[in-house]
Amino acid sequence: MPPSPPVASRSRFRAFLVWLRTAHTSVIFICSLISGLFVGAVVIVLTIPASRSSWGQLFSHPTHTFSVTGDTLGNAYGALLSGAFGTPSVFGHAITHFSLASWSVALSPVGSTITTAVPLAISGMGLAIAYRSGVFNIGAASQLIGGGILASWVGFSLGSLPMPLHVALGLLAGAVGGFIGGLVPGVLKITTGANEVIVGIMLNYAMVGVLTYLISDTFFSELAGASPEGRVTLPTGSLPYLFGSVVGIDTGVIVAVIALIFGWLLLSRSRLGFEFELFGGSPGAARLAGIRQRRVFLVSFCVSGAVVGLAGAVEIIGVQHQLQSTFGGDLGVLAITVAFVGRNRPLGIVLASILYGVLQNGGLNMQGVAGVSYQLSTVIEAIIVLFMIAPALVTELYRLRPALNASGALSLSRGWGQ
Amino acid sequence: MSTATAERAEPNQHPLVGLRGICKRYGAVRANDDISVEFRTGEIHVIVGENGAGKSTLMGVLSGGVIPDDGAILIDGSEVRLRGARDATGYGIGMVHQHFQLVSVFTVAENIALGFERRKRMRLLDLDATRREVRKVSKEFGLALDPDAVVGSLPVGLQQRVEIVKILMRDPRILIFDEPTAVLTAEESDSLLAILRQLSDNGRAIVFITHKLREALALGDRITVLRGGKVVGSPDPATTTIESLGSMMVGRSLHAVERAPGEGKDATEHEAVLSVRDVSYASRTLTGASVRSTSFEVARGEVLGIVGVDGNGQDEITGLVTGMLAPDKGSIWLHGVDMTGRDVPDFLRAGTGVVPADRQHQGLAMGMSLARNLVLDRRSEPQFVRFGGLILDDRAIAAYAVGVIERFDIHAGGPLVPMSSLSGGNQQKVVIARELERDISLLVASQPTRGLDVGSIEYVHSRMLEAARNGCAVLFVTSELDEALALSDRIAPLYEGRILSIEERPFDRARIGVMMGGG
Repeated sequence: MPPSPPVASRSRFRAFLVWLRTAHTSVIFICSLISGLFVGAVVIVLTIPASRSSWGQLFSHPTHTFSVTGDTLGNAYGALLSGAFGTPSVFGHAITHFSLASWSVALSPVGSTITTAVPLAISGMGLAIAYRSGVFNIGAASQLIGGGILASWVGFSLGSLPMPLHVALGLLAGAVGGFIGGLVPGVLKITTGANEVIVGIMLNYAMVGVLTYLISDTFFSELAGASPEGRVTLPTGSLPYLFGSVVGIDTGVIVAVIALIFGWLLLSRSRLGFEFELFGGSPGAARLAGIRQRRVFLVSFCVSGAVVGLAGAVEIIGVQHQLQSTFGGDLGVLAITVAFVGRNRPLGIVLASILYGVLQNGGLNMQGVAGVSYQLSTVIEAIIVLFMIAPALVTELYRLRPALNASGALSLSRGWGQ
Repeated sequence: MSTATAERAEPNQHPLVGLRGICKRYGAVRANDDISVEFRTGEIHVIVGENGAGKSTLMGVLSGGVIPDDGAILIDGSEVRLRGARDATGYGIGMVHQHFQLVSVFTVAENIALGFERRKRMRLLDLDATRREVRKVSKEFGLALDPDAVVGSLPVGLQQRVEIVKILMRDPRILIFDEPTAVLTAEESDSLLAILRQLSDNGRAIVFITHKLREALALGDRITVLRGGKVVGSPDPATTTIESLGSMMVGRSLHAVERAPGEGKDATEHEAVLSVRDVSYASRTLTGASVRSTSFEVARGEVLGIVGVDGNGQDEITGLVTGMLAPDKGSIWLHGVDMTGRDVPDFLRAGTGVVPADRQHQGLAMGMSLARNLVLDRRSEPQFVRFGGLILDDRAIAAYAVGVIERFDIHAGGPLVPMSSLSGGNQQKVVIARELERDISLLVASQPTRGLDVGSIEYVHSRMLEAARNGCAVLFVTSELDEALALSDRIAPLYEGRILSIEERPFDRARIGVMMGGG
């Protein structure tokens, strides 16, 4: 006789609870998030004068302490959420006074979040391609800058081209710029054995110099001086907005989706991706399987660089519309983090980049509305990464049960990028 | 292998350690299912079983590393709780693991001090005290060791000795040895077994885990056979045969796979498939061996067995004949074509199939599925790809895998399970299936049955001989003399990178054994 539904759903619920208490990657991610937010809460309470002083009265007026603390936290994290997703009241207004303008205003925070997430997702995917192949591509910044430079060049010249072609060429130029950024450390490694991490880091520095030079002293320059700016991308070369400029989501989103699908196809389905994974996961077996190691290494580096360069292009011709000397630095580091937190998987990368979009945009709002320093969002991001690097720490702290893999043996955390 | 002394002291009948009703589950697998065993002082108790039978788990329980789900550990009749290796050491339980737990850059004394450091004033490390103790214990038990020797530079036999002395210094009453002779020469094995005999005669209990049935019968005072997590028998070593012991381990009757004496005789008249001419290779690593002026040939349908103790150049020779390594001097020919200096893909394309010694790191991609592993070196073949060779046809690959699983009787959950979920024996079946399914004319198999259970060994042997009967040249490298004797048409003993001779049938076992040891 089949089990009655209440029994089945009860056991499924219990199974879900068990799953929640086991150290799977997603559970570790959730716990890291909680840890990050908790530490953030502590910092908020301590930095806002009102709540800090209220803790001085903890023993005399405990309810006062807790209510002020609660208010402060609610204020701060509320600002975080509304900065990232929007305010309920504005949505309410948009529903009652239905118009393009009101909805644009309501969706504007979501737009910012997505706009921040897009280049992260693209470059994260590019880096994931390298990391899954066991290639330590640290030169994301150099690839972003290289891509941005070439894309900007196409963007502010070639004014006679029709828009779709102009934009497409700009994106292509970005990919080429990133490709070169991956080619340099790749070739140096396979011909001279130079460590690709060091070359990558050095190239990052070098490219910043190249960028600053270009936008100060050459035809790239729009405005020289202490904060130089490059020439502005022409309207025909800019990525068009999808829902209007107030919402601010540009077609970069579509590029991101295509990049993620491409990454997934490449890594999970293609023969080249098979060789990448083999080379990265089982280098000994790769040799015996007849993989030409130098070739795979170089191809992986170049493809990775090209995708990261594409992200640089999207950011320049879609969002910033001109080069600045600060371009690429922060994005380069954050891309590595996104790839890592997303465990080098397309879905994880999407979630991680949205998370960072939330924290960055929400963080700005927290500063403006709740008076909490913007740097706090950086702290929260860092705490999350800190915990994600150490699944064993999370397992201990949250008393999770170690995850078992298919053979029933303990699933130990793998190294970088696995 | 000579047996130990015939006369033995009457073993003390007081059970020192008892395991009662031990149960341990890993997920759905019952690694230990209600196991009860007793270990007595003055006795050498041998535990035999296939891989996966539960030997390692049981020893883990006994040595404190594994906490059982159920059951009791009794020491001197009273129940104890072991919460780690430290507890176990406190109760006088010492274990020498199969894979040594030594730091190769430390000296002998430093390794022995690790974890039990002696201190002098101001909590400074007192290494001299440890060095003195090492010398004392060495002398007492006749296990010569230099406390200042760097462990990484010692031969394997001496490294094992460090492990033994390490344990003896904690004054154990029961010593557990996990597959100790796996890496020893015949001579070293004999001296180890003599030491074990001496230790047990002095009032200790010895537990010895092995899959070598011959050894088990020669050495054990008592034998316990494990299968599928349960105790299936405690045969009397004096009256049991190797065949019956093997059958008990596997649960069915086994038949030894052997090369019929007539077979392969005329194979040597055929043209050589593989020809190694005067090849030398200087070791590039600290622990690697060199190959010196080695020459041999393998003809169509012939089985050539290179036999020697681990570390005498086997890995290097395997590397050289597969293209992984390039010789410094000499040449390597396949089908009359000079392949010297060519890379692995060329060797593979010339029809070489490789079953490497390190199946987990060289033979398989452990993180990938079974199906993908079956096409590791066949990923460009048209039946496995689509869209002009760009995309893998996963469905075709999975369907192919299902067929292979059936034909080769591989025990796995399905074509898409990760390789890591298969047992060692089945992993090896995957490697062999993959190579044999290719169109190969030369099979190079290095330590093909290492770490495998008796049933899988039988299977691998029969497949290798079948390949030879089908015209494939088979070169296999092993450290098990008996395996070489059973399967080969010709045997080439290897010592310090040199093939000492090419022996023909009928083989002189003693002579070959001596050559393996350098005599």
